[in-house]
Formats: sequence, structure tokens, C-alpha cells
Amino acid sequence: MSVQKCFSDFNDKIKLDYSTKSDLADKRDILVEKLRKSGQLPSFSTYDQGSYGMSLGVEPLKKTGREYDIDVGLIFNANKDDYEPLKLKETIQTILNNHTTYGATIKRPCVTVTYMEDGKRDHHVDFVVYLYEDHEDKDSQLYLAKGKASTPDEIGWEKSDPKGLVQYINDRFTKKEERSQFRRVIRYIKRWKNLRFDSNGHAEPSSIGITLIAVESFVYREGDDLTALLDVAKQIQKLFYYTYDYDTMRWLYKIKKSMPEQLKFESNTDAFGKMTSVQQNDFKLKIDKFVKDLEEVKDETDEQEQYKKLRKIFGEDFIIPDPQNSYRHQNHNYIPASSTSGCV
Amino acid sequence: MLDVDKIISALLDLPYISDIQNRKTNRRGTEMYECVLDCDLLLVEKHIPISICIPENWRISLVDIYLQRYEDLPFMPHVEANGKLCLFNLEGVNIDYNLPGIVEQCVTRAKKILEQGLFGDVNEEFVNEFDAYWEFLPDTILMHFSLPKERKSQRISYVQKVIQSKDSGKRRYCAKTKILYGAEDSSYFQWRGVKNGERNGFYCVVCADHYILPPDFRKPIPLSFFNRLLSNMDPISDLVFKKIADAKIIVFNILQPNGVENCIGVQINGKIIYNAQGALEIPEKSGLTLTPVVIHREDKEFLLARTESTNHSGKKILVIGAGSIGGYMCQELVHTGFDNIEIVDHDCLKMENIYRHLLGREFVDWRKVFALKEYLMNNYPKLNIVASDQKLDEWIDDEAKRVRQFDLIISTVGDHKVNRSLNELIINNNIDIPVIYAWNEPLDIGCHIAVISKKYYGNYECLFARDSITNELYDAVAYTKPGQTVSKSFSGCNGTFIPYGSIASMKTVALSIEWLIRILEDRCEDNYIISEKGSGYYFRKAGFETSDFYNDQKDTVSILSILELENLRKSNSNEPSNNSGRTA
Repeated sequence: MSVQKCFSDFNDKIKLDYSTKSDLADKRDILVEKLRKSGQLPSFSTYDQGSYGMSLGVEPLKKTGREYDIDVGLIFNANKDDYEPLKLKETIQTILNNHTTYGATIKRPCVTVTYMEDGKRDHHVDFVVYLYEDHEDKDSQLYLAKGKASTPDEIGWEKSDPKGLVQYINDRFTKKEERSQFRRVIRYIKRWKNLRFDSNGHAEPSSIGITLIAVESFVYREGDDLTALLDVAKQIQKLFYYTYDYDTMRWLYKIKKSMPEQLKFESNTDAFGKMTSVQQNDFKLKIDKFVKDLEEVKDETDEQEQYKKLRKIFGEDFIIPDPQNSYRHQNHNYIPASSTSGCV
Repeated sequence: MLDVDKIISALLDLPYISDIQNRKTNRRGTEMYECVLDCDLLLVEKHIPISICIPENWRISLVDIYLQRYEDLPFMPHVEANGKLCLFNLEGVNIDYNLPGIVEQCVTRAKKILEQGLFGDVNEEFVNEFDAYWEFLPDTILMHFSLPKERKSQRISYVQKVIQSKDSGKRRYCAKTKILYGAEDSSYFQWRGVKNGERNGFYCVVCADHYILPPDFRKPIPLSFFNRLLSNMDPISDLVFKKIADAKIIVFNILQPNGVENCIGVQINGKIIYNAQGALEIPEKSGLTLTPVVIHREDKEFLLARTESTNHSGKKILVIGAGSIGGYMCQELVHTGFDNIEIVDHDCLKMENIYRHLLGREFVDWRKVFALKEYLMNNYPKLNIVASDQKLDEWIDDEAKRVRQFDLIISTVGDHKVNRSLNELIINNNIDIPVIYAWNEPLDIGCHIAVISKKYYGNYECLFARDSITNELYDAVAYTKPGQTVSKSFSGCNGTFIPYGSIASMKTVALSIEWLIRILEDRCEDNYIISEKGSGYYFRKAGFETSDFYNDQKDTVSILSILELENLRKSNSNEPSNNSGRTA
């Protein structure tokens, strides 16, 4: 058994296999069909975007409050100037609202349909609304319907290039092994991200931001996912800059990742723009630790100790080959339950 | 030296911790710490600023976590007035000396407490610790209170004791200048040594259909809180009302729906009246003050609850002998909940006794029984101790008929002659009362107790045998080899004693109490000789030899039924066993 084999097994464990999760796609299809048949919307095409479209998905960690999800772009055959950004979203929300117990919710970038299981939120489908500059020219600029009623200042049309983005990432690597390793590295980082960042709000760095950095900096390391991963993590580190933040009146680390120039997004779109200064500073501290922990793994001469360290970094899904030496960090009680327990 | 980087590193692994900052100052309020880390704790939709404070003695006290701005949060359980979270009950807990791990676990626990406090149902948590939150109220008065046995609203008495400044200077009391004592009857005040100036108070029982929660100790208690309690009590008679209408102290005994009992009080400078709805209330008036009273219960039921022992109140125990074993025995009987004890001993306490007796110098030259009675009655509530300073044989002659009133007899005299007399009395008078005979062996070789009841086979005489050659009577369970003189004397025949330390008597008493409880709870189904072996180190060092009975005993504590003892003796002497069909 080798570290590379462990990484490979880890990848198999965390990789979201969309063929086995076909119920997500089935639900997407049912909802799309409902929208088409409603007669209340212009015609549209659909486009699988996000991790589904790029085969970069990881199994969500339920204990961290994450769910399975699929992002579907609805590209309407209509011009943005003919519609108010919120109108189509509201229509979609009305059509789909009673489809599930939890219903449909308008969010800033999309309309979300949430499914329950055993009385709890289980997975969701996000519909992102796009309209053309000129729907008769399918190469014309696409615009994303942004905003919700509770934040009227944010309502508007935003330049977007969903297909361009997916293509940009998918086309970056032509060789199968390179592409596979690249995707594995993204998944490792995503799983690390899920463990280390809160799922609420924008505390967690966006996956697209990570992916864009990785696409530009990834170096294929044959049979050595650890080094490939470390390379990308260090590149993320390098993007941070130290600056005075006037809101908090402190010196903090910040990061910015613009969308590639050749893509047709709003200029100055920052992939990490939704994070606050403090959250970006947290990102810096955590990525520093990530790099340090990975370097310690690399420097470790004892293979078993390497596995233990990696399990500590990536959680229980990183299996240590010898079960007798499994380091059950997550279950270790430093303050055992007392037999005379009171308030605990 | 504290490695702060390791702690920060552990915190960085937690997804619900953000913005960690190492404070330059290590002080938090009046407390000093090795290190103080400020950060945000991320709950579902809230960022809660906290301070993680690591004390020098973290191996004992763990880590303190404070809310930086408790005033911005609702009142919730497990948070003290200064914002400190009550994380773990450390009583009896052993911890792993891994500071980063401990910090991580404490933070996780803090998150759970806050999530529960903000989003969960906290009623039971509040109710279970109601009294603790009451103590966080500012400017409280302390009251020692013996709760009435019957949970019924009634008049009580209370006495106020003002602590003089010189006493406060000696730090004998916990920074209080006024202490109250309250009870339903006056004997409590006598026992407590507080007399004079009894006033009327009101003991109010509130049976709550819905949880009554403690008030937010960060704000003044509203009058409506107390009036709600008054409106929830059962009606009282006019006679009781007349007595309590002017009461300035009200003690509320809240019986919560989950069975928890809370006890709090208030001092008022107003009256209690009936409102238009016929319920009692304290009317609003200008200058009304409501001072919370913290109740420390001193009723026996509450005090005994700490020992987890069954209530043995009412059982009558006769203790024969008030010496080393007898003294400790009486105290442990009281500790175990027995409140009805008669002690018989003619002897006086001498100075040479004090290092292996419960009592000390202040009782020298007292009759032991009266000294014990005085000591116990002064220190424990609601006891009925009868002291008889007769010689046992005289007592037996005079009181033989009374013996039947006892539930159990314990002989602690450690004298076979006396014990055999008692045994004979029991048999001859056909008295069906179990008897425990308890005695020490010399020095450190051990102790025995014999548990004898008429219901089962054998009696005290079965502990003796006759030498097969000389026909001499000997103690068949003695740990000392026959033929040795182990007794000592510093002053001739009248000063003879068996040497043993205080600890030997305590072991004997511990064994006795355990078996006494078994007997009274019907968990003892035969007559037994129970022998606890000591190491014998000092015994052998003094040049003495131990008996075969001692040497053959494999376990530290040997439990033999009388029948087993007899069979053992016979097998050792190759005589046929007694197969009477009884099994041990």
C-alpha cells in the first residue's frame, strides 16, 4: 500500500458519481418538464453547470449541513431588455413552489427547489436564469438574473458566461491522466474545504475560485497526487496580500481571483468577492495550515504516520490501510464522560 | 511553556471558529490566564464573539470560555453572570493532558450550549439549575433553611443573624453581613445555636403545571415573578393567612412538572394581601424592595440525599459499647440515615483514648455515652439518641424486655465474654432481632464481624471450638496464633489494652454498616462470620504469629456462613462435616 493508493481510494470514496446519483438528474428533468409545460415561460434550453457540469463534485458531508445539489442553467430564448430580472424567477418559483414539501425559494443567483427526506432537508436543484442580449444570436452575451425581493438594490442583469466557464475548465487538459489528476486534486481541496469552513453564508471559499486557481497553476505529477495537491495549495497561498482593512480597522489578508479575461463575465468579477475581509483572512490562515500539514506529510518518513496525518487532514473517509492503527481523531474524547456527570 | 501556535492550529481546523486573535493582555475580568484568544463562534445564522482563556492549571480546571457580549444574547442556561460558559461537570472526571484536544472539545461543547440556548428547548435545563441561577442575582441574602417535612404552605419562623465586622475579618463567613435561619419549628434554631428574635415567615409551596423558569439575573426581578408564584399556590386557611400577612420573608418551594424541586426566597418590605381574584399577591407600592434570598437547605432529607443512602429513619438501633468502634459506629449510623439510636456503655473517655476515638480532648472524663450523645446531637439534625451509662449486664437485667423494640443490635465491645452473654440473652429470651458483633484483631491483622439472627443456623457460640487434645476453648476465627499474649499495659491490670490503630476500627465499622444495611433490606439470608484480613506487617514485626485461619484465608474479605465455618473446622481436623442439608 502506498500514499498514492490511499489517495486514489480516498478519491473513489468522495467522488460524486452522478450515474449512481441519477435521481438528482431525474428530479432535474421532472422540474424542467414542469417548467416547459407550464406555458408561463418563454422557451429555453438547459445547461448543466457547476460541479456537475465539470465532474468535480464530492459527496456532501451531512454532518456539516451540506446537501447534494445540481446547478441547472435555464437559457431563455428571450432578450434581457424585455424582462425585469425578478419576473422570470418569480414565475419559476410560483410554478415549482408546491412541487416539494419544502417548496421553491428565490435566492440571489437562482431559484432553489429543496427536497426533504425523513423530515429534514436532503438535496436541492438550483435553477439559474439567463437571457440573451439578442436571443437571435446565440453567441451574444448572456445575462444572469440577479437578486431577490428582500434586497432590491441587488436586483439586476449581470453579464455571465456559464458555457464558456465550463468549457474553459474542461478543455484545459487534453490528456486523460492529467485531467483525472486535476479533478482528484480539486476534490481533495473541496473535501478539505467542507471540513474546515462553515457551510452557512459565504465563510467557505467558492469552489469556482479554487478551481480557477488550480486550472492556471496545476502541474501534472505522475503517480504523485500529494505533490500535485501541495503545488495548488501553495499557489492559492501566493494569491493573498496583506492590506489595511478600513471596516475592521485592522491589517488583514485578502484574496482576489478575477474571471478569465477571455470569458464574458462582468469585468472585475471576483470569485471570492462574497467573502468578507475577516473570512478571507480566515481562509489565509487555514490554507497556511493546510500547506504546513501537507508538507509535514511529505517530510514524514514513516508511512503509517503519513496515513495518520492525512486522515487528520481529510477526515474519516481517508482510510488508513492497517485498521489496528486507525487514528480515530474525531471520536477521541480528551474529557471523557463522567460517571457522575451532571450538566454535560 | 504554553504553545499558543498549537492551540491556534487546533482551532483553525474547526469550521465554526473564525477570526482568531491572540490578545495581548492575559487578564479577563479579575482572572489571570496564560493566554486569551478572541474569536467568533459561528452558529447557523449568528456570529458569537467569544474568548477562549487558558489558565495555568488547565490540567485541573480545563479551559474557560466567555461570551464577549452576553448582554446582546437572550438569557440562556449554562452561562454565568460574567458570560462564562459552564462547559463540563468535572466532578470525578479524569482528563487527557492534550491541551489542543481539550480546547477543541471545550469549543465544541460551547457551540452546543449556545445552539441549545438560542434555538432549542431550554426549559428543563433552566429548571434543573434554577437555584444556581438564583445565586447569580445581585445583592442576595443567604438563608439556611430546614424545609418542612410536609410540603404544605404554612407559617415558618426565621431568625436573623448579623455578622460582626471582626468575624468577617477572620473570613469565617462568605462575605455576607446578614444571614437568616428558617424552619417550621424552633428546635432547629436551638440546634443551630441561633436564638432570640424569631419572626414569622411564609413557606409557600408552588405546584407548577408548566415550567417556572428562573428570572434573568442580568435584570431586576419584576414583582410579577413573585406574584405569579403566589397565584400558583394552593389556598391557605384564614388562620395561616393572619400569621403570614405581615411576613417579610417568603420561601418558595417550587415543584416543577419534571419532579425537580427548587427552593428560592425573597425579602419584601410590603404586605401580602388577597387580590380581587382571590389570589395572594404582593401589591405594588412606592418604595417596595424585593431582595432575593438564596436558600441553603439544611433539612435532613436534603442533607442525606448526598449520600445516596436509603432512608432508614425510624429504625431503632442498639449499640453496645461506645469505645473506638462504638464511637465511629454511632457516627456512621447517623451518616447512613439512622436517627434513633441507643448507646450503652459504662466507661469514661480518657486522654489515652483520644487517638483512636471519634471524640477528643473536650470530652475527656465524660461518660462516653453522654459525650457521644452530645457530639451527635450538636452536629446532626433531628436525632433521637438515648444514652445509658450502665454496665451491660446491669442494663441487660433491667432492660431485657426493651430489647425487643430494636430493629438491630450491634455489639462493639470486642469482648467475647460480653458478647457471649448477649448471645445467651438473645437465645434464652427467644428474641428475634439480628445482632452484629464487631471486633478488631490486634495491630494490623484485621477485623471480624459476626452476623447472627435467630432465623438462620448457628449463633455466636459457633465461633468457638475446643482443642481436641486439651479440650480448651478457643476462638476458631482468631487471626492470632493461640498461646500468645498480645495485650499491653502501661499501668498494670487496670490499664490493659489490645493495641490497634484508629483505622482498624474504621474498617470494622465500614464492614458492619455494609452488613447492617443488607440485613435491614432483607439481603442477608444466613448467619455469617465476615473476616477482613489486614497486611499483618506490624503484627509480625512485633514478633507475633498469625493463625492458620489467617494464613489460609486467600481473599482480603472472607464471608463464611456459620455452617461453612463449622465444616471448615471439621475438615481441618478431619472430622466429618455437618451435612444438614444447608447450603451457604
